[in-house]
Amino acid sequence: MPGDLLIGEAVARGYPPAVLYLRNDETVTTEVCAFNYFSVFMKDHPEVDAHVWFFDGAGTPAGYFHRELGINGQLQLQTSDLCPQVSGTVAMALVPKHETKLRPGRKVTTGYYAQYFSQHGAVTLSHEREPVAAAPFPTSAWMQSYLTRFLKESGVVLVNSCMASEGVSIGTARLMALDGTELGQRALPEIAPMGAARIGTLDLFPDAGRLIGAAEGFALEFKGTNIASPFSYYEFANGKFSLHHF
Amino acid sequence: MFPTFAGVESRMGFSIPAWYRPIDIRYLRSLVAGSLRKNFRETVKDLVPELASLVASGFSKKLRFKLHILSRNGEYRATYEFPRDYAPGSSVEIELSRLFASLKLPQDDYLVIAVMSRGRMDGFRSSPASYSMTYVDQDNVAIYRTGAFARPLNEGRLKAHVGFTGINPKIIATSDIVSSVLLINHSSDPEYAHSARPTTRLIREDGEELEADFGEIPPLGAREMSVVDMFGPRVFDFLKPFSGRGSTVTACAGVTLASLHLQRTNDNRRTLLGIEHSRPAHMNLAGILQH
Repeated sequence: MPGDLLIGEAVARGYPPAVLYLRNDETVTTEVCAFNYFSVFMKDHPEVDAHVWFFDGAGTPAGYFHRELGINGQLQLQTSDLCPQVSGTVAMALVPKHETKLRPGRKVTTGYYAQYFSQHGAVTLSHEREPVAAAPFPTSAWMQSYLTRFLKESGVVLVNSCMASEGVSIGTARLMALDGTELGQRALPEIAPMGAARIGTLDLFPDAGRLIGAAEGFALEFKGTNIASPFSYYEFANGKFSLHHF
Repeated sequence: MFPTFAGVESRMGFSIPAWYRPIDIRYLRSLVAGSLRKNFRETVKDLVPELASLVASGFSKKLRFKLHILSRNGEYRATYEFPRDYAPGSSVEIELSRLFASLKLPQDDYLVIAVMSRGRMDGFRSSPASYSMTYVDQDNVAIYRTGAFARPLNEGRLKAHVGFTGINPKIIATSDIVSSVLLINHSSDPEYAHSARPTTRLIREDGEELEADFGEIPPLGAREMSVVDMFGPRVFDFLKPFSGRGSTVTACAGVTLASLHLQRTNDNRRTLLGIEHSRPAHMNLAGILQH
């Protein structure tokens, strides 16, 4: 829309939006929460513009939201009102209205949170993750342990935080025993720039139950390109959803 | 430093990434840069044990872990050392409620300090990974993860803190959910002896606000306060016009605090739904913006 701030412009101005997973479907809705902390620390020029961009799982723009925030301004944005049935990524930036000089080479990534509401009153939280990248970047290995008793319910959410058109994320997943033994390895499905994928552990490693055996836990490792820090999740049959970044 | 909750399965995990090395050129560079900012005596005090332990370990990539268990009032209760060491690619996992039982500790809320055999004192990549705290209450799983840091906190000889400001824009007070803030008065100094007494403002979207005393947090202790604990039952009516939503700004002069945000069912703090640590995003502004 005319007047909308382009995400690339926010990156270029030194205020790259930070990304998070977005999920709005019949099971989960996402609320984005932010506070104008500029107003706490910059009393002379407290006003900011809050910009929120939404993308579906394939990285296609799915919506944009803007609001001015003054002193102690805050945002508790029900994203399902703006883009119902869209799951992918959300990116947000608070940009001061008063032009503020940044130290050379520095950027301001916005701190904010998402609350994911699911069935039976469940709510799970995450703070913002990586800033949107203008150019492709490598992702070093991220590894996190899971509970074997929730193997069937477990999985990973991978977010591509690169906005460059050539920034498709590629990578590998490894299923690891807690003692560091590799139990399996496979290529990840490609994720389009600004897209996201939610993948069950058993979809990645159908034989995981046998490979893990009686161990109380296991770990998943992800590396490649253009992958922001992954999120582990458990999704139960009753619709309770729990997610957290690695 | 992590909280545990009586009656809730509390698990701690740490997965060491395969790429982890105890020392590399980037780390050495940051050690030198950090030393240049200190006086000679403090540099020697910090670097000698660091480098000596590195040499003594034979530059081993393996890590050892130890847990100190404290009451929520900061009183020492017990220490547990993991019997083996862990190589890159492996994961440490422990169910803390089970550990407390084996140490003959009564069921209670505790604080756990996790200590690694090797930390990194640099500001960059202080932690090779995140500690994972998982709280399982039947089929409700609440997780938060945060890095391990080897840096001076509330330790006067090295660092005087201006103060703490913690912002939580996820506050909910409805018939279903009540938010809490849990603050930890941590320190890298085992002799730390200062209590903290923060104040909290609850601010709603139209700018109206309430203010309350958060209560005293003993040294090396923690305190969880729900918005009902702080502001009383009027908080429900106060936030009702805004769908029960609001923000808290908690401040305390002279100390730095660790801050966790909790979402609980409205049942007098019996069920933990979600937990997350706060972000110091606003603090970063100080070093980035030019005034």
